[in-house]
Amino acid sequence: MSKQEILAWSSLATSSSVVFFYVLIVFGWPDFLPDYAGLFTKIFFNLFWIAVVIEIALELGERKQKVDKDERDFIIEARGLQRAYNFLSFAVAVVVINWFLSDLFGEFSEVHSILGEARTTFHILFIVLFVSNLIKRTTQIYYYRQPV
Amino acid sequence: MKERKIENCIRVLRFNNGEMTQQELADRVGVTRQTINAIEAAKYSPSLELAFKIACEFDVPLEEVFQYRVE
Repeated sequence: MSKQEILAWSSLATSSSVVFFYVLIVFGWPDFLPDYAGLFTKIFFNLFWIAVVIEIALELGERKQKVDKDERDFIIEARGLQRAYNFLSFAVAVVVINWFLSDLFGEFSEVHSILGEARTTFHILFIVLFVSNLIKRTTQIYYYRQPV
Repeated sequence: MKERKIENCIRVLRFNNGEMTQQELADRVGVTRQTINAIEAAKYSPSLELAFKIACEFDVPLEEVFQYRVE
């Protein structure tokens, strides 16, 4: 596994941990699910620190290869960025349209009223940002295993 | 529909050049070992520049390293 592929895996782990903690803190554990919040928190907490340690070790560790990143890595990264950008653009467009709709229909619909709040919009955009990073990393990992 | 494929004989050329390892070739042409492995397995088509570098490294013409076949 190349350094860039390991970095993609560790970034996927850290981003998914951050999204999990953020969703848990902001929205809480869903009521309709059995309470495994503690167990999942422990798993994602460990996952986060393991990924951070791996990333630091990779950066500080002895370099076995002369080249860390080459043309194939750049092409794969570009594909990941393209998908992440597409998702980000779509998600931001949905949030903006919803904001306008909530201005128009906020008085009549409770859902539009909640989604139209600046605080909720900020949380959603923060999550969207990390999800787009998850998409980027997942795409990279996929293309490291497929013909490019 | 006819399938087009870029094939290569890097593995044979490495063997004929003193059993050069993938890592050695990668270091000489400035890429990672994983990229050389992907090229050998026909999972990645290198840029023209990298293809020429590989050919120069073995001191052979480009068409001796890479072949374009229509199946």
